[in-house]
Amino acid sequence: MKKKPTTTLPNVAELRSQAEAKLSKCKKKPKAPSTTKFKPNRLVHELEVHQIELEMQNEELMKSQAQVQAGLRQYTDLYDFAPIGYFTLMRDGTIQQVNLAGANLMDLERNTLIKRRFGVFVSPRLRTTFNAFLDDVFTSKSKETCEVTLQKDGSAPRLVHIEATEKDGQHEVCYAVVVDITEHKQMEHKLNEAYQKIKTRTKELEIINENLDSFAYSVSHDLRAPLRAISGFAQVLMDTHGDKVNEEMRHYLNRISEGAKKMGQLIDDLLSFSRVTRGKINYEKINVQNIVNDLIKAYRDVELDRDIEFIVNPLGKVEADKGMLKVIFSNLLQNAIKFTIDCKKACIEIGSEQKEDHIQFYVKDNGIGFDMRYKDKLFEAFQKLQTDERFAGTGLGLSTVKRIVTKHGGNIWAKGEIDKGAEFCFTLPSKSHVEN
Amino acid sequence: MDKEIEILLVEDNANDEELAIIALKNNNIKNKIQVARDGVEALEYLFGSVDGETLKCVGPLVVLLDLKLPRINGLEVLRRIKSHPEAKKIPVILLTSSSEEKDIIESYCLGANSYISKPVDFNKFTEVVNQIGLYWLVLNKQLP
Repeated sequence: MKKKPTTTLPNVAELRSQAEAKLSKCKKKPKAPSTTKFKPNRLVHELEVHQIELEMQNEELMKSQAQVQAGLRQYTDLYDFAPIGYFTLMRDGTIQQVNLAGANLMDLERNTLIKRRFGVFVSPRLRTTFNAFLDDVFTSKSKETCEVTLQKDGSAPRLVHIEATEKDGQHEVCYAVVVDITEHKQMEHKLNEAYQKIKTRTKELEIINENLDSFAYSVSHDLRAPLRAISGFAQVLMDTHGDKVNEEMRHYLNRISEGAKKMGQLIDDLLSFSRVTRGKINYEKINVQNIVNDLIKAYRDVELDRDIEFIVNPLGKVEADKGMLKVIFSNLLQNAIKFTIDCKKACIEIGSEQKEDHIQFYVKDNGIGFDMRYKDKLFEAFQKLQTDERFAGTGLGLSTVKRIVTKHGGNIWAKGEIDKGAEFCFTLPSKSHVEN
Repeated sequence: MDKEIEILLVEDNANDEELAIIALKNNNIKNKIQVARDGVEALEYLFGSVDGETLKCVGPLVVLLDLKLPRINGLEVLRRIKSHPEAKKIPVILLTSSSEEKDIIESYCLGANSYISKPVDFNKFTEVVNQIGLYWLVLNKQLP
């Protein structure tokens, strides 16, 4: 860094000795020697020394002046071309000084602004606010801020943010920084509007969801009641008037009962299907082994006349919604059990594979399988690849499973071969949602 | 000699009521059945009036209660029974078509003795009633 040159002149004694030294170095023979006793000569010598002293001082002054000029230019530039407007205001708001940026902000020439009161440029309805602000600036010890609108004939109003602080506590002058925030405010306004819209819409959707929930609940409940009547009284008819009911009547009455039962199942499945897609996932750490074992135990308690071999490989832990995960395995296992009904020895295998960022589960069976040409239709709602009445289902199971898997961010697919069995695979991401 | 246990069936749906009675009969349950068509009638039978403070009926009782009832609903009837010092000893079995988890939880929290879903299949329903009858009317020792 350049050493800051001294601007103070050397003291008188130093100056004299420096001047003397210079003089003696001079090519010209001094007009008068320094030690002469002759008065006029002595005088000339003094004058010569003084002249050099003055020249030296002058040089210093010139240097100082140049530095000051440079400094002034630097600070003037900093001031004038600052990215915000600087105003020096008097007690009554008169503009004592303003930088170029400030003048640009007001869209006026600098010299037309000087000596005019700032308040004149403020929009009339905000003048009292501005005046109150000015009062605060000159009475409080801290920086004050305000926002006002500047209005000029022929131009659009500009919203500005002003910060000002009094100079020196003398209550005469203050320094104010003025920033144009018109665009910024517009952006803020737009964002706020958008945010409000989103808030309203979210509230609406929440209400719609709640309504759908209670609607689905009421509907399913109310739809089941007549079904109980249909199925119930058909059965009672068969039971109480058994002697009057012949084979044909019994057959038709059974069809009536079955129809009602089927519809009941459909209602349950539809309810489950719609609930799954609307529900929020409650993540928890789940030991998948427990879920699968419980389901198998439940099946064993019911399917007493079937001998199914269940192979349950280590399944690990996963973070998911417990209820939804149960639905996945319940559906896949039920399908496996259903489609192995013709097997001499039904075998169902469940396992998992830990991959880099997800876990892959599979449910394999040795049942009737399916034609790979229709593998995509498997997961569509109400699609059945079987017309055999024994495998009758509602056609919703796999589409429900797919919805749950997708909701969790995973994938599901199936492989199969007619009469050779099927394998259903699905993945669940490993990322953590549960806080420890 | 034990006094015969009475059954109070609280059910608003005429079909369900008839089917329940048939199911009870099918299972040779000959106990006297009292029917209340909604919460108000149920409370009137038990306490004499809707706001009644004293338990009116004397004999041992089992209540089969449906949740969705007009005027005063099942949960309210359950609450009234289970918060009464005398009445709370009466076993209350919720026999309802709701399998909503929140209904089940709420019912148990209020002190329901049992919660059973009414299946659409009548044979299953008869089986259910049979099991209820067997348990609550025969096997289970009532509070003396």
